Amino acid sequence: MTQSEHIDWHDHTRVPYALYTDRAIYERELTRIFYGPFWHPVALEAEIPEPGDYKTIVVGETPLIVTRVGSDEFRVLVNACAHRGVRLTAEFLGKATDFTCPYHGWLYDTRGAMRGAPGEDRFREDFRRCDFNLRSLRSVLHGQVLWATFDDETPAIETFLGEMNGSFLTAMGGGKRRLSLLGYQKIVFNCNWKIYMDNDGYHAGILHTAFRHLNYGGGEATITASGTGGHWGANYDITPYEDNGYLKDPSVVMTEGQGERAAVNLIRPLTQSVKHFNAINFRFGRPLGPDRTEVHYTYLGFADDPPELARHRVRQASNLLGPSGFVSIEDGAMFERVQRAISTPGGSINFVKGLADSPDGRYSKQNDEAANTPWWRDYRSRMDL
Amino acid sequence: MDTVTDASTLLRVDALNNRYTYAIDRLDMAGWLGTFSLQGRYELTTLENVKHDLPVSIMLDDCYERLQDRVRYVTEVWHNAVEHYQARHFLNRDACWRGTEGELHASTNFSVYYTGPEGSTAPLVVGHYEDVMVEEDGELRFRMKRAIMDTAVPPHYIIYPI
Repeated sequence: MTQSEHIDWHDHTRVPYALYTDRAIYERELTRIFYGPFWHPVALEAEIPEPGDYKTIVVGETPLIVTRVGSDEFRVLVNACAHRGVRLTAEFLGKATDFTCPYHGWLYDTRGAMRGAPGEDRFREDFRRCDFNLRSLRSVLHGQVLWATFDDETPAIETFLGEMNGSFLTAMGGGKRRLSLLGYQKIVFNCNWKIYMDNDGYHAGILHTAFRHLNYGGGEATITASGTGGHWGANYDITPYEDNGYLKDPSVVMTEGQGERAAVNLIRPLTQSVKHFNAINFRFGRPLGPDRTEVHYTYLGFADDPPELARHRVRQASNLLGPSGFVSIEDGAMFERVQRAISTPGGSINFVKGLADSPDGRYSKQNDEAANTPWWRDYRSRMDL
Repeated sequence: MDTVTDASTLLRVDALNNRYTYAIDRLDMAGWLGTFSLQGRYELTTLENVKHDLPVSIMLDDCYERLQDRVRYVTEVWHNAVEHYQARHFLNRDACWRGTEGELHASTNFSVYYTGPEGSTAPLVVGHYEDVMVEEDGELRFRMKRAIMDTAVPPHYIIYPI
């Protein structure tokens, strides 16, 4: 018997601990959320910039190959041979004209079409290649991100993102300049994927000792949560850093150039896009069961960045907002500290701040907790809890 | 490659790496800083980033001032939020050569284990160092210490330099 059969949940602002720990809940999430009507980012255009480039990624627990077939043509394919289910490639980033299964030599093109196999003349009589193509997911390019979904009923990406579509596009540079890939920081957080989403990007600045030492005032933002789905976005101007002498080299928290508004977006179920200072960061998440979450921090610049700005982005990306970043390491510490402490039967995570001003959580202030709640209302409905 | 075979030089190279790991395994960040020259830089990155020629690192202290800042972050800023782990480094030097300006280069494999607050132990990362060492004030010090992790996805956030 699992805990989920006993979950007693009446208030979406008080989330039972069991929702973060129970394997049966996790299995239901895979079906209803990860394989349900949600768009998942699977690649940035900048990761696979040329025809023939490919990337592998796992969504839910399904391995995928994302291929760039032409200049504007992509495919999202299940990374499993249609014959005996063998993973076709383990390379994270690569270039290919086709994929050959190492087990029985089945050949696929980069659109996923089955092109032949050794001994095909002895296959069963009703065999047709077109019945053995790689499964291809519905996909769409939006904001220089390729999105995929397992569900034919998932609404159009703009509808899916709702009110925070504009904020997402801002975080990705406004869609006018071509993004370029700077590199990755990957990490496993020992926490449930919803702990990560509850706490990354949107929490009280009181956590960050670094902010106080750095005399960092942040910015005043209004958090806008979408009416369905529970995504939220924040856009704001960063208060310019005033050097208080704490750092020997304060360039890590300096903003170069003009008009670099900050944008933080949380896209359900498990994605964040963050543009802070000069760091442009897209975070692909993946659940590893009910108690671990893998996140790929993917850093970007613009292809037309002057060399000094490109170097500055690399320095800032490498030191500030990643899993070992001066500021963000404290976030990761909290994810794990929460997970380790939520085993008490009957306990709950409680959202309290800002709810009086924003009962529906749609519009709230930066350090409130109200914008957490639309997601949990939506989650209750999707999960029949 | 001007391979170094002189035992006394190799012992000095190993002694420097021993000083380095002795310091970080004991959270002696001043001792860690003391292994770098005034032109020193430290980088922690992944083989995956290196393989794809991607410049982003996990930690990038590309000047001495930033090395000094890292000491303050570890000792003054983060200690209240992060849960400390005990790191243990195991090293194996597999190459050493002298560069055109007399500087020493070494490649040294590392494996690092971590023990969390509950007392359980697990591998944290595996990889190799690419070091450049110079004489400064009569001592060998790192002008560059580049830790390249084979481990692309560590099982825990990395707090301390590797």
